[in-house]
Amino acid sequence: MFRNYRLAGVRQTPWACGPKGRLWYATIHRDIEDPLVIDNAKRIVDEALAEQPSSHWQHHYAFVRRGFLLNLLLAHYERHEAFPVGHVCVVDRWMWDAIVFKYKGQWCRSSGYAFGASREDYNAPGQWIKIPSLQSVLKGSS
Amino acid sequence: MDLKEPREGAIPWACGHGGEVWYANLHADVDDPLVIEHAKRLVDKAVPQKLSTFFGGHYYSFVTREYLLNLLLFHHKEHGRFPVGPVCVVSRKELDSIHHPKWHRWLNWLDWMWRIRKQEFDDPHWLYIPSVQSVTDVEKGPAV
Repeated sequence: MFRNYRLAGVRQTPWACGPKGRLWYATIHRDIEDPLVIDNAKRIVDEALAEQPSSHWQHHYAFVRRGFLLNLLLAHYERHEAFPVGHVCVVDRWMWDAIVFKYKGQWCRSSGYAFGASREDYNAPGQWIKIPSLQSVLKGSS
Repeated sequence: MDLKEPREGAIPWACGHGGEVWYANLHADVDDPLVIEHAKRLVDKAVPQKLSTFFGGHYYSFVTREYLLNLLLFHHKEHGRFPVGPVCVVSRKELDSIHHPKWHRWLNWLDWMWRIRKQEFDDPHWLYIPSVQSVTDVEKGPAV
């Protein structure tokens, strides 16, 4: 649950968290080893979803969200060898569930319709998060 | 609710099943027919209607397009423009957020919900939304 220590046997990357900049560890779920790619993904997340300076647990919640976005970017990089420049749209419930599994060392991807919800449930807007380009992030930090 | 019956606040849209016209619900508070038409064109490009009726494929395709149409219209209502480029659609069970109607508008923010979270990570669903300009340019065809 808490991310301020290393987990044995799990690939993690250290990441400053909270008001005092302590190092916590975000789990990496993708087969990306290149530290530069991981570092660049973290920079994009820093821009898109900044760490919360408050220590009233907000930093923990923000860290988990940032970890999700980090893996989302790495998953995209793994597949397309480029980071996306666009948006994440968080909706109440998307009607397609991802089906992802590894078979003979390769990721297999598909999706299946998420049964159980009525069309009337799909009536709320999404929460949009903008993903900046790596170039703009690097330019801003230099 | 029957998709084939015209209703108040619903717009006609070809569903691809023998050229039939079904009716998509509009939840976003957008009345401008031009904006709605542009949103429909974007959805046509991003998620084309599936023609196959195998296991109701045309129905699932239609309701996905209907939801994406509303997401684009909600975005247009809030920002005055449509999003362009890759869009990753994520459910709240993956990334917490709140969508709450209040004072005749929607309040949206990222929040936290206690739950047991999955240890693994599933690739979410990526869509590509073209620009309105590019879609209308393609429809016009090359300049003579």
